[in-house]
Amino acid sequence: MKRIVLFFLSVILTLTIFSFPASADDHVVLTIADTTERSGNRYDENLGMWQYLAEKLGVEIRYLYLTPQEYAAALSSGDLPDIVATTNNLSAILENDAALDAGPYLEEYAPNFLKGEIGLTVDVYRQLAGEEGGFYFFPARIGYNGVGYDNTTSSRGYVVRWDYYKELGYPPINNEDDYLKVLLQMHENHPFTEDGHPTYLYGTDNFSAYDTAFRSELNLDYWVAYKYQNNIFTNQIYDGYTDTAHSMWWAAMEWENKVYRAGKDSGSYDMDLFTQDLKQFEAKVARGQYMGLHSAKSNLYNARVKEDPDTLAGYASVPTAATNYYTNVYQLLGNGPGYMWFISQNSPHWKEALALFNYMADPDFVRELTLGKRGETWDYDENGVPRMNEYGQEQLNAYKAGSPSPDNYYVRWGSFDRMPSNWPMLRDNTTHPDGYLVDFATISRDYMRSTMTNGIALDMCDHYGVELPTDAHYRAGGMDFRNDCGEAISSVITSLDRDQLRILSSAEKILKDRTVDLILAETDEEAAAIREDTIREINDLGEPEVFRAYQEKWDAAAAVIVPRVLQAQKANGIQPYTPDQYADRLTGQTEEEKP
Amino acid sequence: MREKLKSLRIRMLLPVFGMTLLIVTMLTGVFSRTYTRMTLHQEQELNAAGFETVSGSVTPFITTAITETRTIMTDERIRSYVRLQYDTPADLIHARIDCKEYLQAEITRSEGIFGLLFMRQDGSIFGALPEGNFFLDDPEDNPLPQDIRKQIMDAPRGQTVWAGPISGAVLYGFETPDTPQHLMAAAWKSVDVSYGDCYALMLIDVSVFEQQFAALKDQGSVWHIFAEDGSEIYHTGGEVCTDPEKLIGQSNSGQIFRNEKGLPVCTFSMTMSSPAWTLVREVSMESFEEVIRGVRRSVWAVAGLVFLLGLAIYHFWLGQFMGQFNVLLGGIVRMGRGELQPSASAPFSIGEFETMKREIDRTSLALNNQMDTIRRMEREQMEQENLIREQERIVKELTTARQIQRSVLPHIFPPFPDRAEIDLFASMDPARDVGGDFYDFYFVDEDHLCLVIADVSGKGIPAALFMMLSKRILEDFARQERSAAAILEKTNELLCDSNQAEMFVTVWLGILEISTGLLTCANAGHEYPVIKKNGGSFELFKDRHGFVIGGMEGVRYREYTLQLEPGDRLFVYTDGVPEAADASDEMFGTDRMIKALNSCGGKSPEEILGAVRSAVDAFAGDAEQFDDLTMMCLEYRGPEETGEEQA
Repeated sequence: MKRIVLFFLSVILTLTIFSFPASADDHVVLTIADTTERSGNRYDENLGMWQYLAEKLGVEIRYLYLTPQEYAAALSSGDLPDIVATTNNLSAILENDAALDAGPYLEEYAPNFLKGEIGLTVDVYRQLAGEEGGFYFFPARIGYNGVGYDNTTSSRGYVVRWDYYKELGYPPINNEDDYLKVLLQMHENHPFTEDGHPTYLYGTDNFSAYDTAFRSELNLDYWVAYKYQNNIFTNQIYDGYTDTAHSMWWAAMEWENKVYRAGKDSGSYDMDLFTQDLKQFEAKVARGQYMGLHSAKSNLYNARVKEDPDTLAGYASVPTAATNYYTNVYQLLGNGPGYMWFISQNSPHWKEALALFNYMADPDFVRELTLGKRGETWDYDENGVPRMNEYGQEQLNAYKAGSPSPDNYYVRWGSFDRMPSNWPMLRDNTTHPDGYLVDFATISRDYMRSTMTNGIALDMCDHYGVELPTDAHYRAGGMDFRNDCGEAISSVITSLDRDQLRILSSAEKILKDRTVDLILAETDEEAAAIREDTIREINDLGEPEVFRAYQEKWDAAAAVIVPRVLQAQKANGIQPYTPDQYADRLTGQTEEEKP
Repeated sequence: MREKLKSLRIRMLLPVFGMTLLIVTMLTGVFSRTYTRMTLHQEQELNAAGFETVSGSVTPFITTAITETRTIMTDERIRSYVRLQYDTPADLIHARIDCKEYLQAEITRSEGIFGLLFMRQDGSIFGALPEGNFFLDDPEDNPLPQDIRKQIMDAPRGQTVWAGPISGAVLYGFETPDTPQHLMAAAWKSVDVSYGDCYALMLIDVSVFEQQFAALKDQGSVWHIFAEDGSEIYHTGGEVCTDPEKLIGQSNSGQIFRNEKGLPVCTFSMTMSSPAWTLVREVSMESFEEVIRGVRRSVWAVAGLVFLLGLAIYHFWLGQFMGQFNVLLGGIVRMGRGELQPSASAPFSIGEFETMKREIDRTSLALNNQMDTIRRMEREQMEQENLIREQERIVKELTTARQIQRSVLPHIFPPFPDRAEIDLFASMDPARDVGGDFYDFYFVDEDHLCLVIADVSGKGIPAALFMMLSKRILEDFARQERSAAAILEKTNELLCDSNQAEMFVTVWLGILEISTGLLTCANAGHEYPVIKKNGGSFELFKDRHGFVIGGMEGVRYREYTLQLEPGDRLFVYTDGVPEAADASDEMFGTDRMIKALNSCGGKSPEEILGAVRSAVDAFAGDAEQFDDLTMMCLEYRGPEETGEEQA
């Protein structure tokens, strides 16, 4: 009896020993954690694209959300999921030794990071990190923020209420004076809207918005700290606090003052701009009460198009050489420090994690993530040109037409706006090694033209005799942001120290306090006196020293980044502007003002 | 003959059928009444808890918000913008930004305040709400509906009126998912006239009440809040009530009625103290009616079975009886033919037959009498119920009248929080019926506070109506005259002209000059005022009474003055206080009243009135309060403490 029992026990033990390691090896669960709650079903691991990726990697993928508290606890304990998205606290991650230095393993496990445009990105990180630095963070969505052709109108520049502008016969607008003249004429013709609401010359919801001014030599760069701004052609940095010749903010004050003085007597300057709530402002926009806006908004058009599909009531920017079109912006560092990924230092599955990143940086795979699996929805024709097949085109059209059914291929797959917004590493508007864009199906002039339904865009094309609104802009002599590296440069500059930040914070307050007086100044002399006082106060704070410190860091980073961005632009077939091309724009002078 | 017998057979069935019907009706009726009583009793218990919870949370919530608004209103940024005196557009915009930032911060900080608006006398308006800031210096731009503006501007100074509901979309001129549908505005005219007449509007979003109602966990009912004018302010679930009169009018009657959707409901209501909103709980009686219908069906089924069984027994018995009866008839027929020998088989003799006939007649008569009695009882019961219903209606109307009467008296204390020179408190505890006591106070200008206490002769609705009339006339003249005697004389003339009911009112009226403490008074047949000098004790001030107001034309009143010093207190009251009686009909008297007053030491006016009330209650014991107890107490603090105003 004892022998029989011992026999069974040994059999059980043997099975146990050999079965457990085998099952553990077979099934790898790769956990991906996001610290930002995202809406919708984008992060559903059941989406076709995730399952496809899991199949390729031979793992199971699980998406998790970490609350800020959970993230902080996991960070300090080191007990993190395999892959983590972070929106900030890069230094805390490094201090906690929480991220894997992927640099030594890229060649073996993620070679795509050493090729093509992403290779430039890694190169920048290594250059800036110095000898001791590593490669800890994977930037997301490297590529273009907008391509040089689009079927929508620009949101920045000389924005006008288009139907009233058309009534005037599309007068050219080459500078602020032209713009003001047009606004005054529109107001004179329409002191009240169709619904009986009073109209105003110009509206803004933010007096210090950088895009309030239109001068082409002034760049807007949201990523630059405070009011330091860079030139989009030369990538030089300017002090927006005191350099009134190059400051967006000071330009905005001058413009607002001009509008005030032009409209105060007729009541066409909206004094509520200083106190109204954002919703009140948007309601006025939706009623079409402003003749011009600092940034085109769609409220009016969206409201009117429901009643009249051919309406031209809406806001659009006038094509002109005097403004820069925000397109062809190459984001070498992707979405920058605002959103990056890292592999947990303690991850037992770091190889699988690196393999995942490798796929996400692979133009073939990114094309499949975007347009579906090769063979199912698209394939190469006999000439090596990628083309959608009938099924794929039909599903794509249905998806892009809006409100697709849950059975639609792209809904199930997880493409376009259903794709997690910070995957993959490459944007779909970068050029594939085959010479076509990664998304060859929807990012093309033909596609843009065939899907252009906006009445104002159509009217603009009709009037200016072009195919797309972007063409009207370029034809008018407008330029784009292809030389701009401001976002990438600013994202690698370490923060200013506490004292410097305190000085900038005080400078901000001074400007804020002076806004009303500057805009409502009754004479040039009064405005100049306030300006001088303000700049003197800011100088007294010691702000110029802060700027110089920032400028040093900026120039160092620019020396590394700018050549690589221009190299990437060329690789994508976009020739950077030469100094000759933008020379006239550096002075900030109008044609008449030039010596 | 046989046909007649058949007819008799049917006629004998009718009473049986009738009895069955009656029994069924009575049984279901008794059940319905008992079940209704039980159900309503249960609901009443829920009501008590619910009303207490809701009014106990809503009232302090609103009172706090109003108090906070009164403080906000005194802020220099607000006062300055009301005056609207700026040299340059930049100065104006700076003032607006200051105001906006201050108001937005206050709104964010305060739990109860949804928005704050300030309206000048010319109708121009400014203020802040979560989705919009308003600086509409042109009255034409005021988004408030005209009727609401008028309602606010008509409110006497010192009184808070509730206006609304106002849709947020009307105020904003647009609508977003966050825009509230129902805003109520507590509004009053500022007492600080140094910056011109200005109305403060404290807006609350009635959806804040959701939490209170959710806490009740009473999902089977719909709760409504109605404003004083009957408009619906808020309701849980369901739809907007378009017939509030029905809902309120039928409430607390114990009656089940059909609501707007035709569903059976029962309603209960109460009027909150501050604000005087009516809280109505609408209870669905659908399940209740289902039970009643089920019981009725069961009773009918049982009765039907019993009836059928009885019918079978009756049929069997009647068959037997008719068989015997036919034999008897055969005998009679034979006797008619001269065959006088009785048949051996005849079961009844003639005498027995006659006896049986008499029994049948007697039984029939008894049945008829019984039916008459039942009908009479039903009639009496119906009359009784009508009487009770009528009494309940009268009681309800009197309650409403009492509430209306109370609501016209100033009831928010402290009434003038921005006037540090005085502390004032007043109360009216009504007896069971509506009476004619009232108190009143209001600033007639920045430096003169008018104080009134009065008692109308008689009780009931006539006294209440006369009181409302007197109060209004006194206030009108007080705003025109600075002489207490002249006010009383003019009021007397006007009341005598139109006093066909021959009612009168006793009045003590005083006008206090805040800057000097000089109190100018006149007394029209009212109780003596009581004065406490600072450091002294309360003493009756035996002023010279004039004749009551409304009693005789051409009466002249003597005016006298009292000099109040800082710390002095004035106590005025109606006869309900000294004439409060205990169970042995002994009166409280002025001596006990003075003693109670002097036991208060340096207490505040509110505490003093509380102490007197406690003393009266302790004295009266279980005796029913016969008359209204109305009191008012003023503490004069002197002008030197008004630094903020003067600064």
